[in-house]
Amino acid sequence: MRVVKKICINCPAGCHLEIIDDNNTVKVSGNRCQRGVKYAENELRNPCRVVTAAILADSEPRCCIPVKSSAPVPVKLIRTLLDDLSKMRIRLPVAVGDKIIRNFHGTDIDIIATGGHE
Amino acid sequence: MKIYNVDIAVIGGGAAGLTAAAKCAELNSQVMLIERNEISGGVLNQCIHSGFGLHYFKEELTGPEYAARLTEKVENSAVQIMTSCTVTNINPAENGNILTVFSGKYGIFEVNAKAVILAMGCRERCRGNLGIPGERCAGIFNAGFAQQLINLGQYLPGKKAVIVGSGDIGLIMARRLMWNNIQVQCVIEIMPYPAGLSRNIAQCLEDFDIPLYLSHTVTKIHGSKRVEAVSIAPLKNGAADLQNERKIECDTILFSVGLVPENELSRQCGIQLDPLTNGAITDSNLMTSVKGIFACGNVLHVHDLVDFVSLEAERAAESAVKFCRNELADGTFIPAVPGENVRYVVPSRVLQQGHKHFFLRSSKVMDSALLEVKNPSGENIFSRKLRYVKPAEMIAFELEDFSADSLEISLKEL
Repeated sequence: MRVVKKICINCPAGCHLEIIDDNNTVKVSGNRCQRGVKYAENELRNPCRVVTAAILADSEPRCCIPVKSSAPVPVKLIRTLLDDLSKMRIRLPVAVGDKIIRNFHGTDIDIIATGGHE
Repeated sequence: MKIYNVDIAVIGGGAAGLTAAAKCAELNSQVMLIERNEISGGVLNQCIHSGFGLHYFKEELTGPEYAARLTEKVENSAVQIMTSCTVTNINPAENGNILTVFSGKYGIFEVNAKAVILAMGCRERCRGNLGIPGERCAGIFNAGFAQQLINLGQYLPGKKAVIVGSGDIGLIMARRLMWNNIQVQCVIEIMPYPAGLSRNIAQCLEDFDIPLYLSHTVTKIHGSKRVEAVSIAPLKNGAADLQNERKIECDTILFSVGLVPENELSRQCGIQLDPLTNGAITDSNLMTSVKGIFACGNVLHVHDLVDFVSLEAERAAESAVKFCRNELADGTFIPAVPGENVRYVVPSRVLQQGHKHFFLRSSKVMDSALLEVKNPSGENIFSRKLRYVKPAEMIAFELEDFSADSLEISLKEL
């Protein structure tokens, strides 16, 4: 049984959570809404984060396309994702919402353009 | 010289300007939006992280997505957008303000606007403002500029960084640097509490085990051609405790030490500024001390959430449109002053009648506080209990009709 302190990152409120991890049960306090409970459970079992990045376009003059993951990515896969993205060059034109990578490493998570360019 | 005649001219095409211009057009006013960059969006274009739009669009968006939504609204409306155009002068007048505008595309032209909405945003404070000893070596950046370099061009500023200032820009950049394989040694903060959101302390510092040194100051920058290290010291009785000074190796320093509203134009045309906000003194119509000139967004006061910028910009637009139609609510404006534990209140002058919006910032971190609005006799006009009050998070509230000669807005620690 251990007590873990975590700040919830779901919204700007940033509630300071106190999580009691007792093998199979998780008790959460300090949350101002129900999303904090789900967040606490995930933090203990499988922490994930939304990843955003800027990828170079395959064009002159130099420009970048901002992207985001369609869902939070398991933390242990983030370095691999970022390394893959840094090696990519995006072919223009790109529109907001275009899928740059589909189903990254079998996670069902896509990498989506958040900015467009001609 | 070409002269454009419009109802409303909006200066600045970032979050505030785009929202205000779209609203003016929605209310059938003839509006021109003047933006000095090639594209609109302002600082949103470089804020590629998410966390925007939860209130305004009921969705969590990245900065560019938020900007795209606003730009789409503007482009699908009757707003006349002039990009790569810089307003260099405002000449206020009874029958119409004359703006002088410089641009490579159109040359010099004038805009005759019945009303003007200022939405120029902010620029960053820099190392020079802090007077930190050391040479002017390469490797010293403002956090926002480093963000522009990385997010708009993938130009990496260095290999090993120290970040000065724990405001949201500094925290977001700590994560951005780490994600780009740049080692962040630490974040230094002069106050005894972090300047940014707790959420960012978690996802930008704790996630990466980056130490945050509160109540610390930078005492020297080492290096000649390029930064080699910084010296930092804890504060003791308000001054650097040099006995406990230590050196931290780095080749890059990012300064996140405050934003300054860009009010050159405001000063030039005689608008009165509030030293507490560095923005214009406004009334509850968001009108400045110059009739027909309104202000909103970061140029008025530095916001934390872009959603509040958009809401404020809509109100400025509504006021500007009413002004053009001689329908703006008038009357005796009474002062709204900051009281105990309140650093500033916007607006500074309010009408007793009508629905009014207030924004304020606390000067202290308080777990529980009572927001109180009192008249000069000390009688309570409005109160609300608040939790987790901190200077980093702006507080908003609204008032209906009331009767008083002045208002004092304070936060009592519970």
